[in-house]
Formats: sequence, C-alpha cells, structure tokens
Amino acid sequence: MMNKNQPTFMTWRFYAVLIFISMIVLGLAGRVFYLAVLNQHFLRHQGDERVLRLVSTHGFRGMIVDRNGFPLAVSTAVYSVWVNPQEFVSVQNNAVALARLLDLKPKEITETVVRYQKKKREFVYLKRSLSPEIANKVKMLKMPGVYLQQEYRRYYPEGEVAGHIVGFTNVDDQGQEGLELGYNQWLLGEAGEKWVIKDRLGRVISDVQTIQDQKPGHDLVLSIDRRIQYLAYRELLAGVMQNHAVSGSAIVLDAKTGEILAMVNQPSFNPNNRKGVKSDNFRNRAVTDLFEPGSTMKAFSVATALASGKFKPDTIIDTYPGWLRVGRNIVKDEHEKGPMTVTRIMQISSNVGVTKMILSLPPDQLWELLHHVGFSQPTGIGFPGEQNGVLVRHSPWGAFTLATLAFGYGVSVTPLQLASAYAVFANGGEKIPVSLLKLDTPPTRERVMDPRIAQQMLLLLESVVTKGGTGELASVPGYRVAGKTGTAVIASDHGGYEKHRYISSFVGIAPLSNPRIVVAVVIRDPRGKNYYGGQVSGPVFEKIMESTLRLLDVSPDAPPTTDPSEKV
Amino acid sequence: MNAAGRLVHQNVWSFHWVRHYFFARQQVLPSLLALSILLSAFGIIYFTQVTRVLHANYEHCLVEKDHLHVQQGQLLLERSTWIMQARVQQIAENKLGMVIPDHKSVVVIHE
Repeated sequence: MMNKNQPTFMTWRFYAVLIFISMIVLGLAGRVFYLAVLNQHFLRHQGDERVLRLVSTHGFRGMIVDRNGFPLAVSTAVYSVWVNPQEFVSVQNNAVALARLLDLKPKEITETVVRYQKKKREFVYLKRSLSPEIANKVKMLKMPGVYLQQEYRRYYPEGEVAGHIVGFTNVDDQGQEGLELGYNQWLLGEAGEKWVIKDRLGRVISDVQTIQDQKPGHDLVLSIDRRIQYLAYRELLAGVMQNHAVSGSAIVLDAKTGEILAMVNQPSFNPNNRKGVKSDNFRNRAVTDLFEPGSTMKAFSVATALASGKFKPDTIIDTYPGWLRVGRNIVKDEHEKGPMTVTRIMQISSNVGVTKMILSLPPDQLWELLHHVGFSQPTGIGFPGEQNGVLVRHSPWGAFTLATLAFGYGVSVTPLQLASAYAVFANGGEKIPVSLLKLDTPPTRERVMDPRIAQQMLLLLESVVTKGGTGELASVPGYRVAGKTGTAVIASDHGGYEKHRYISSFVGIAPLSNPRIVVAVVIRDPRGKNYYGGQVSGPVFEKIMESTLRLLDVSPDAPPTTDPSEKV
Repeated sequence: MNAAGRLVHQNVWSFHWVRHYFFARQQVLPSLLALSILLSAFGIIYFTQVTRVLHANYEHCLVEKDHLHVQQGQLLLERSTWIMQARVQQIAENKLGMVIPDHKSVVVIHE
C-alpha cells in the first residue's frame, strides 16, 4: 500500500507544482508579449531616445587659389575650449595648468566658472580659435568638465596683399566681402546628417544611417598670380607713401586673355585680423571707385580722329596761342603751343589739339568708341559692389561738353575699365572681356576698332614714353612701352572742382612688338610736391611693368642701340 | 574491384533508401521551400553584418578624409608661411646678399 499511496500523493503535488510553474511561465510570457509586441513602439522609442543621436557633419568650404595653385584662402580646423561649470572642479592646480595653456590668468578662469556656476549654466566658452597643438595638450590634461569643440576658420596666407580681391567670411562661414561673397554659393560646402549611437559619455559607438552625405564646396581658381600681386602691392604701397597720397589702385592685365594677373589697392587691410580696421579699407577701389580719368582718355579721342580718316599721325594742327574758346569756356594747354603733328599732340597731351580734332568730327563718334571699348558697362568679373561708371550720350552735344569728354572729364570710370579699354589697343582693336578667374578656353573677341588704327595708336602712345613725352619716367629699359599719363582735378562734392587735388594715373602696354601686358596705375590725391600722372604714377608703372615682364619671361624687344651711352 | 562494386551497390541502395523514407514525392516542394527560407534567413543575418562592417569602414574613411583635408589645409598654410614673398625677399637680401640688378648692370644681348 505504501508503494501505491506514495505515487498518488506525489501526483497531486506534482500537478500543483507544475501548474504553479506554468502560471509563472505564462505570466512571464504574457509580460514579454506585452512588452515586445503590444508596447514595442513605446519602448523602442524610449531606447532610441537614449542612444540615437542625429549629428551633422561639416561640409568644407572650398579653397581659393591663385593661377598656379597657391592658396589665397584656406579653411582649417581650430578648437574652442568650453567648460561645464557644474562639472569643473575648481582646484587651484587645474586652473593654473589650464590658464598656462590658454594664455589666460588663473583668476579669470576660476571667476568665470564660479559666476556661471551660480547662474546654473552648463556651458561657457573659455577660449576660441585655438591651434590643434594647444587643443591636444588641453585634451591630455583630462580635466573633468573641460571640453573641446572643433570649428573651422578661414585663413588668408597672402594677408593684406590679396585682401581686397579675396575678401573674407564671417564666423558662420558666409562670405562678407570680395570673391568670398561673390562666389559664396560655389565655395559653400553642404553639411551632411547622420544617425549615430552614442554612449553615456557622448562618445560615438557606431554609425547607424547616413541621411545626407556632406558635400565639400568647390575650389575657386583665380587668374591672379601671387608673385605679380605681391610686387604690384609693394610698388603701389611705395608710390602712395612717397607721394603722400590718400589712396591708390593698380591693375596688371594679361592683354591676350583678359585675365587679371594682379589687382591691388591702398589702403589695404589684413583679412586675418580685421579688428579696428575701418570698413572703408575693405573696398576694392580698383572696381568700386569711380574717377574722372582726364588725359588717359585722349588716346580714345585721337583714335576716333584717326578712324575718321580726316587725320593722320603726321597731320599738322595749329594749337597757337595755347588756348581755345569753346562756347563760353576756355580750353587751355600747359606746356607747348604752335603748330604740331598729331603724334606730338599725343606726346605732350595737348588739350587744344585734341579739342580741335574732336570738334571737327560728327559728335557721336567719340561716344560710340568709348561705349564700345567698355566704359559705363559692367566688366562681368562678378565682383560684388562693382561700379559701371557714367558715360552720358548727350543729344544734342554741346561743344564744350564734347571737348571735355575728349580730354577725359564728364565721364567716370573704374581703374579696371581703363585697363580693359587699353587692352583693345594691345589686341589690334579687339575687345576681350576681363576675368578674375583663370580661363581654360580662350575668350570670345569682339572687334571694336580697325586693326590699323590700333597699331598706329600704339606707335603714338610709344612716343609718350620716349624722351620729351609726358610719360618719360614710365619707360622700361630694354622694352618698347606705350602708355598715356593722366592728371585730373578731383571733382568736389559741392559741384565744380577742388583746387590742387588731383588724380594721377598712368596706363601702359608692353612689349610693343607683341603686346602682352597692360598695367594701369591710379593714385588719388597725392599731397607731395609732384602731382602729374607721369611723375607720380609713371615710376610705379615702370616698376610693376618691369617686374611683371621679368616674372613672365618676356624677352626684351627694344632695338639694340636705343641709348649708346648706357652701354659701356 | 570488389570494394568498388560494393560501394556502387551501397550507393544505389542508400539513394533508394533516402528517397523512400525522406522524400516522398509530395514532400519535395515543401522541403525545398523550407530549406530556402532557412538559407535566406541566414543570408539576411550574414549580409546585415557585412553591411554594418562596410558602413563602419565607410564612416571611418570619411573621418580620415576629413582629417586629411584639415591636415592638407594646415600644411598648405605652413608652406605659404615659409614662402611668403616678404620673407623670401628679406632672406635673399639680408642673408644671401642678393640684389635685384638695376638698369645699368643689365645688358641685353641681341642675336
């Protein structure tokens, strides 16, 4: 019996335990079902909230480089140190070590931390824009509550030499001035976005999904040559200082392609350190400042006269007695009077001679030539703030208005337009659009002048730079150079003209046997003892032109025995 | 020969045996389907893992690319600092005693 009873008793217990265990298992299964199926969405959401993070990745801003690939603007990583005042342990040692690295006073750090601790803040910058080396040292300290943040800053290795062209960006990597502004969209990178899993300390454990890839911005290749840019900058600076001038601009243009090899201005600024610089200095005066060109315009007046067929370079015109009544005004000459050839009129820049020629022609012809060579029209270089200039087409033309236009008043131009217009002579009468970007394909040319007239003009302009011409100081030894001086009285803000305030300019072309380079130098308001274009801007032109020709390996083309006394 | 003959015989036998006991004709299709489900399940596991590894690699390369980009920028800046025109000019003039020849000391030789 014992044997029979025992199993019965055991069976009951067995089933009780079995049911009990089954209930536990069922209960657990039910709970699992509840969590994993019914409540799945909520739980997954909660889990993701704790570990999944959407982070953005930096899209680099493109570089700006010169025509040979040397950088003019580069984005590079810098670091900012920030602290969480709630976590920072303000032990004296900590603050001292940190202060030494950051070049701050220990007191400053502790004070800042304490101040923000009281305000219950969790973020305060200690120092921004640190180099990677210092950032690494800060990292090695492994201080609680001290964090690094990577940022990107723009650096301009050429500094003030190329500051006006390149411009600068603000802290948000957006262009503010110059080409940084003009080509902002092209340079701008696109930030990417991705989901990552982060741990409790904010370290990225794994990348889950990329929402959008980061896209780096495009590089911008300029037509500028940094060597020529530097030389032009140096010579212009010296010229402006020597003549105590207020400002100045110089442009070096490759006549064959229309590429701008250098464009410099004074006063300048350093885009790396703009604190306390007047915003006036940010202006790229070579394209934003208009001026009345004065005598440099006479080249186009004489070209108009030659194109009419009524005048030849050796036609004699009587400029006696050195002044001419036009309407109610008087046009005067400062140098020489009497009968002279058209070449001589050009050479000594005679107002009377030019006026006589232009007044004997149909009035619209000069305006048309000026219009066609590009005055009062945008140059198309895409520079923000570029001015188009003013060239009014009068109808009917007053005699004096036309006469003043013939010697460069009543018209306003930018230095770049002037250089670009002179390139027409250099290119045998064809106009080539100027460009600040390096060109891969040759630009489209447009004929605006008879090639024979352009050739004659080059010879006329060459006479200006020889002995006895107004631009004698601009002659470059070893090369045949053509050019024209200009000395214009500055128009006053109140109407009329200022006394003894001038704009001295010089535009020239070299080498004449195969014209390649056009250089324009404009110096505003020289306060020294000289103010004539030939004396102020001429020597600057000569130095810029000479070094440019040397750098570009242009061989001298002057005939061997120009001046036998110079050779021993 | 004997052994080979036995092997052939056995094989034939076992083939019949397998066919008879495990693959009744109407069970072939479901078995194949079950097998392919299993295979694709393992396939998914395998390729998920491969994707993860590749994605991690890709991200790693991106980080390295950014790093190299930054480094390139720094090196370019460093080079620019070394070859700064004013510095070159100063060294040429002061240290090396070089001068830019003036007009009188230049003689142009025409052929």
